[in-house]
Amino acid sequence: MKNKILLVTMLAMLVPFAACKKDFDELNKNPYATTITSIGPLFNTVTASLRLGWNEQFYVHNEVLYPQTQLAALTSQSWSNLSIGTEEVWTEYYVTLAHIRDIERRLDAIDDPAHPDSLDNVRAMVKILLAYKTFRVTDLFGDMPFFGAGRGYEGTEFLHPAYDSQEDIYVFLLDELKWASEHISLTNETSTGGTFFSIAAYDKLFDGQMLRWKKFANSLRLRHAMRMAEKRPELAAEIISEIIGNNLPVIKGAENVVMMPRAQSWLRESTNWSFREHKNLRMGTTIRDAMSVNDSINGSGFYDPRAFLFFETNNAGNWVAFPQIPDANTPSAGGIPYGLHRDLNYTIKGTGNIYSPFNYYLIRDENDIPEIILTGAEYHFILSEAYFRGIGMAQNANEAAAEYFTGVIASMDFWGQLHDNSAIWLYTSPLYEQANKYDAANKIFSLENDEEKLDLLYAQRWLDAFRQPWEAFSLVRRTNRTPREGDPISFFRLPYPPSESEHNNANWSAQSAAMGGDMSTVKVWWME
Amino acid sequence: MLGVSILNGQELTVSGRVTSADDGLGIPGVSVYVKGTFSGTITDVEGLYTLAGVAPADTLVFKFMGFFTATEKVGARSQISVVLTPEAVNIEGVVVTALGIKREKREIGYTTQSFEGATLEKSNSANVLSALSGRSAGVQISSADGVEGGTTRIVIRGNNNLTTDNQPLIVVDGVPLENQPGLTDIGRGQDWGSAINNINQADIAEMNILKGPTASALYGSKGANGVVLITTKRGKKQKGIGISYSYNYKIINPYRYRSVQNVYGAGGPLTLSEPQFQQDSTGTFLYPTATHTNNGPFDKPTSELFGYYGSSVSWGPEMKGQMVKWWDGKMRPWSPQPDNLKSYFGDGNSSSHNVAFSGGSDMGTVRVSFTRTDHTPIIPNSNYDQTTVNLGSNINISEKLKADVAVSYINYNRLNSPNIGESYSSFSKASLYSWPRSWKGIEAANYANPDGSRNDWGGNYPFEYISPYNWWEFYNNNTALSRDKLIGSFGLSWSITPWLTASGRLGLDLTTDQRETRNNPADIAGILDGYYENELSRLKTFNNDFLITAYRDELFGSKLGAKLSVGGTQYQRRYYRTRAKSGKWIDPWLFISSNFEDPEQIIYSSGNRREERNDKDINSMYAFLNLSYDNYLFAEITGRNDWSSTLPPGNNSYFYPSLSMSFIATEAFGIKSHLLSFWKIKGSLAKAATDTQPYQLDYVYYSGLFGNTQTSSLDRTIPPLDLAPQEAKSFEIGTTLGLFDEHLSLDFTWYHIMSDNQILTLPVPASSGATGTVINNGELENSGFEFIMNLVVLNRASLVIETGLNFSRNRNYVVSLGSSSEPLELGNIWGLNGPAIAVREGDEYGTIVGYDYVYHENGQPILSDDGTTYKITDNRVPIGNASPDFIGGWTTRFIYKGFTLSTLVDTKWGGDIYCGSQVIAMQTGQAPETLLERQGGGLPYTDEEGVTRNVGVVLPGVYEDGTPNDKVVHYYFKYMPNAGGWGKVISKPGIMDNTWVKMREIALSYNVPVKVVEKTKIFQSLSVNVVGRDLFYFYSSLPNKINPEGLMGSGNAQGLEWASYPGSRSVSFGITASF
Repeated sequence: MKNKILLVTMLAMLVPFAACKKDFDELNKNPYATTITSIGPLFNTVTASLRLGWNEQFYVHNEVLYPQTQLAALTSQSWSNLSIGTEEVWTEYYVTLAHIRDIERRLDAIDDPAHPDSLDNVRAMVKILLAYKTFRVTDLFGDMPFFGAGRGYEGTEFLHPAYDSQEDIYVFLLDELKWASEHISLTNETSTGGTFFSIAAYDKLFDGQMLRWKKFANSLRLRHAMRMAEKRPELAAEIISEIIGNNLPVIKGAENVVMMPRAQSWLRESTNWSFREHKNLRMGTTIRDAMSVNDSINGSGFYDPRAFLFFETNNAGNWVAFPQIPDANTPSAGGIPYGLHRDLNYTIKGTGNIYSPFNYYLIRDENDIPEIILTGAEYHFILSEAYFRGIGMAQNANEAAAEYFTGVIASMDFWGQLHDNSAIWLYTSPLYEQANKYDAANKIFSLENDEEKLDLLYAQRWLDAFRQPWEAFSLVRRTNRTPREGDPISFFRLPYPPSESEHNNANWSAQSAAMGGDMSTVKVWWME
Repeated sequence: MLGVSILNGQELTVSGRVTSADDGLGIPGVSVYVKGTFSGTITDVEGLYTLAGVAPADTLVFKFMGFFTATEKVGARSQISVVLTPEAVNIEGVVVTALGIKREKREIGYTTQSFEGATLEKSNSANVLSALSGRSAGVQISSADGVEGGTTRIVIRGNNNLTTDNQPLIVVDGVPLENQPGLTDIGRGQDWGSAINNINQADIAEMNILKGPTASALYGSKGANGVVLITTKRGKKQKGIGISYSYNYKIINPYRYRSVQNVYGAGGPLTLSEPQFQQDSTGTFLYPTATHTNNGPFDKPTSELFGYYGSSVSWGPEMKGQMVKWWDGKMRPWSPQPDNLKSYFGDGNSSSHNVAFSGGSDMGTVRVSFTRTDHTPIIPNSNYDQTTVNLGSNINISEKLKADVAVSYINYNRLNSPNIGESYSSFSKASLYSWPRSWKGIEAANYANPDGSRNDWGGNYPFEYISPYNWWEFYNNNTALSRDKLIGSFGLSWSITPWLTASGRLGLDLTTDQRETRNNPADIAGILDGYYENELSRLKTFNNDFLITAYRDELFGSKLGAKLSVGGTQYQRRYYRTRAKSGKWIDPWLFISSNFEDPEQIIYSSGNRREERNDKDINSMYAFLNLSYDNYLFAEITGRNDWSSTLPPGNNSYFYPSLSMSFIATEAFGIKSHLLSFWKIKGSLAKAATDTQPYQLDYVYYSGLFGNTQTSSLDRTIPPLDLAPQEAKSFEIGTTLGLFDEHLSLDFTWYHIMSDNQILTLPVPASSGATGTVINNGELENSGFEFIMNLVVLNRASLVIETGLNFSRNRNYVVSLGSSSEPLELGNIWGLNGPAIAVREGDEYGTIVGYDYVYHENGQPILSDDGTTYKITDNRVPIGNASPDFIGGWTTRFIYKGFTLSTLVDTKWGGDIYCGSQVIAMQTGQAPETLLERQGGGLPYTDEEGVTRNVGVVLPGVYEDGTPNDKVVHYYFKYMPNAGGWGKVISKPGIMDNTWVKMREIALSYNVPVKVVEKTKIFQSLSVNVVGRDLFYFYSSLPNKINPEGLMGSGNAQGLEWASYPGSRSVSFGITASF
């Protein structure tokens, strides 16, 4: 009897072994993430990626692009670790590209033969963001992996993408933008009577307003057509004349494309961090001279009201610029003008803060100061340049000057509104109200020489890009005619991030050899 | 005379007790017989014997396996008690093998090594694994960063896995112990140690190491890296009341601090002229706060010339007691601070009490033990204590049915674990990287303001890369870990018939960890930087198994014996962790997770994940067949099939076999020689397979919010398409020789392990859209040998001298990394700018890569034309390898009367290290070597101001064209350029040979003689011991006393050192008594 009980007990212990694989799937299901999603949330990820990276601002913008464009002066090279920044720009771009590829695959899968154009609007939106993001990265690095890139999830053969020429990328993206501009429909019904597939609820950039997408597509075409005007003049002219000649919708005047934290429910903490931790950017003599008639430290020389929005006084209440080209006798800079303590004690900038810093509110406001993607003023500056130089339209100095004027006023208004909209912007120099936005705008009419006028135009476009240093960097490299002290710019591109040479070595080596070394002195394709 | 004659003619009855010299306890089963006769008896469970029919002229022999045989002349005595001395050489005997099965050593064809609990206990090391260091061939033990109470890494026969855990399975009383390393990251963090630290040394009866896949074949996936089997003590029948007590007190002394110069104080390389103080308008010397400048020598930024060195730069003025206005505004003398590296360390101590009750009857035995340990480490404010209750019992339910129960309950409490490595508040980093030689440590006394709030130093703290509030945080930011652990094993064995047995066991390992963080607010209002966090985790593993064994001797009337076993194991692991934290406080001094300014702002991300799981099941069935022929030829064939939940349906069932053989040549050929008394040849073949971590298979999206609307993000690691188990195929062959009546024994083993189908996350270029991908590829090869020698130099009952030697060598090659053959980084210092441990196809595992010099055809490094700067490779290249040439240990033991003196010398010979501490000490002018030129020992050099001093150097090397450099440059160019995270720097100068020979242990114990003890009428036994551990290095190849064992992290990236702790030694005093 006892033996039987034992035998039964022993056998009972075997029961769990009978089902060796029971419930494995459920047990091994990833508890942290879902396997289900759709195009809308993926698209929202792509839009969210338009926000600037923290390290990009710190190590690329503040450390390299501001001093290189001379939009500001760097008082001490405190980090010089550019690769942290390039690594971030690169990774963020390609990770987003993988999401775009995912959306494209999903769009292909839901293609409806009965209504072939029903996906056009969403396809166009994806193409436009792809173009904007890709142009930004290729303008910084030059040639880059593109056509085969971002496809690692499709198979192991895509893990090591080859480099593509910047020219091919430009031509491709400009075509895509043209397609987008032509295919975006402002009606609700497709040509075959179907309804357009819409992800308007996930469109945090334009809230589903397709006209604004169309405008954005055309504005981007203008921006990049002009950028390659020295290398592909015919194609540039063709695009510019097509858009202007046909009066296609563009972002202009008071309209802008921005990432607005409050509207999009995020906090722009990165910018303040990049200044607070970095600490060493100040108003330089180049930008000071571009906005003033003299270097009087009481600020009376500034005629451009934006000067009082871009910068503020030093600890002693004076407007002092750091020499763009310092020498051994330049007193060293210090202070803590970007510290968060200024929320409570605005006036404390630290005794060492002897040079004018960036305006605290401009870099501190996390809700109402936007990250800029494209300003309405830019359109007028591009058009002005096209008239001055006769690209895509007949040369016309008067029209050029008129567009310049409109552009400058649009820029002044843009920056003025930005100041007005900021809820935390409590103090502004009284000189701001005294400065007249027309002084800078009218300046062009006092110049005789068209070349001088063109220089002035470039200077204004450069100033308008004050918080888009990557755009200013392109302008400086393309024209080499922006305000400048010392030698012409010789820093032409960002070196590829170290992870490329480490993990994509064969392709990187081939690229590096083809361009004569992965160096910042190598010109990108569209440079003369 | 009469008496004698009577005695001479009489037969006596002699009785007595046989005890062990080791622990003074009685030895049961000792053969006691009259020499030259068959007349004898064996001792009972208490070691007592009675033998009648003995003549006074007879000699009694006391013989027991594992002990030296003793002989005693009877004479007139009727009471003869002897103390047997344990024998170091026990070629034969019983070992515990896989699944806890006891086997004769001669039978097994693979390699095991066993250690007595007493040896381990006596060594009084930080944990049971550390005690093995130097004692076991092929077993490498290391402790991360040299921190007490941290994770101990153990690797047997090299690394079989590229990226995943290479540590063996630890099995306590048949229950696999969850032994996750506390910290594997080499960069930064706190190391709370791993579960093995909680195993109480006083409760261990025996430890066995099963080396190689064959030995551990029956543990399947989990045992692929080898197995450490721990058996805890069970009770035994004994005399007296059955209580034993031991007390141990240990003093830990940090003694081996980095050597530094004490002549020059803080100052950056701002000028090439003699360093001087800046002065204010009154001529007062000012503390040199500036370390970097835009206008350094040659009108270049210092960063461009010398990189981003830390603020510990000590290239400043000589410390001669001058009065200087300090950075906090007070006047202080600029004087040497030879002891400032010690500011944060003090002597530690540990005390431990153990009470054990042991007893038994025919019903079985029971042992209950209670241990309490209190530990004060060398770093203040990080105390820990542990209370252990252990129960071990054998119960004879009936003649055929026996139960075995072992339960340990452990309660462990630890306050803080020091921040190590790169952590922002790591003291060891601060003293290397942030604080210069003139640092006075005024922070220690002034970190708080008189009102109790945090001293912010007026925003003037001049030291970089370290928290200005280091001391504040040290005492005000407290994290307490409280752990409750229960390990239980309940076994039942049933002898159904004489040839058939069945057994089953339920095993449980249950751990609950609570970690509570309270950071005191830094302001008087009680809000600023206040923080609270509470984390609760539960780890529950069940390991249930059964085994049915049929046994038959003299099969078919032959000399063939066979044993067939069939069994199964069900393993379930369930881990759950939840965590809550406060935000920006609104309630002063309120430590609760709801103390949050805006609860909406809680960010969801993997780093802040508030719940974590890690669940896994493995089910297994196995069978093994043991064959023996005439007690000299043995074979074992095993087969096991696992089903793992972590692999995809098509691949989650996998089978692997093993075969091992053992041949006793002396027995087979009838060799009975004093010269060759034992000769065994062994060999084995095995395959093992390993599964992986859970949750790797799904193609998932992480959700977030943007514009109050859902976002979906891809996992940056591409999931595997078709994951299969990893495999290891091993082959081993060896021999054991017993020479000179087994006074000399030699054991030699050679092995080869091929591990392929490696599951690993390989980095891919971001341009693919992902940053990594899980692949099932890659091949690793391990081969090596192990050699063990034991020699009995002298074997007398009064004096025994024994010595033992073991050494082993392992070579570990990365045969393939799969189709993409990406180099795989295991760990680095300074990201892509500095050295790293990387695996590359064709290299040895443990290769250190970094930037090297560019060499001219003539072998010399190429320098710039001005003789200041070396040319550097474009990419990281192999510059060293951390695998040692061999590791070894040398033990000796002297037993004289009741005294036992044992020593252990431990060595690691060869293998490189990237010695970050030395590189930084050179760059920052802390190393004594940097004094040479500063004290005028250099070549004449004329600085920018035209002053000539003997501070010049000529850097060895050639120009591009191969002509030797002859330019005299400032000494900064010799010391400064080789370190730093900002921008590529040459890593090669940091590569050093890391060889050391260490006096690991000297132990002296004394057992009070039984006669004396018995007279007390209280004690059954009494012994005292003194043990010195980690006493000193006979030799260490690293310069300036940098800790050669202070490798960063306990992960697979072994070979990098940076800001390690000073070396410490310990001395302990112990007393053991039984009643």
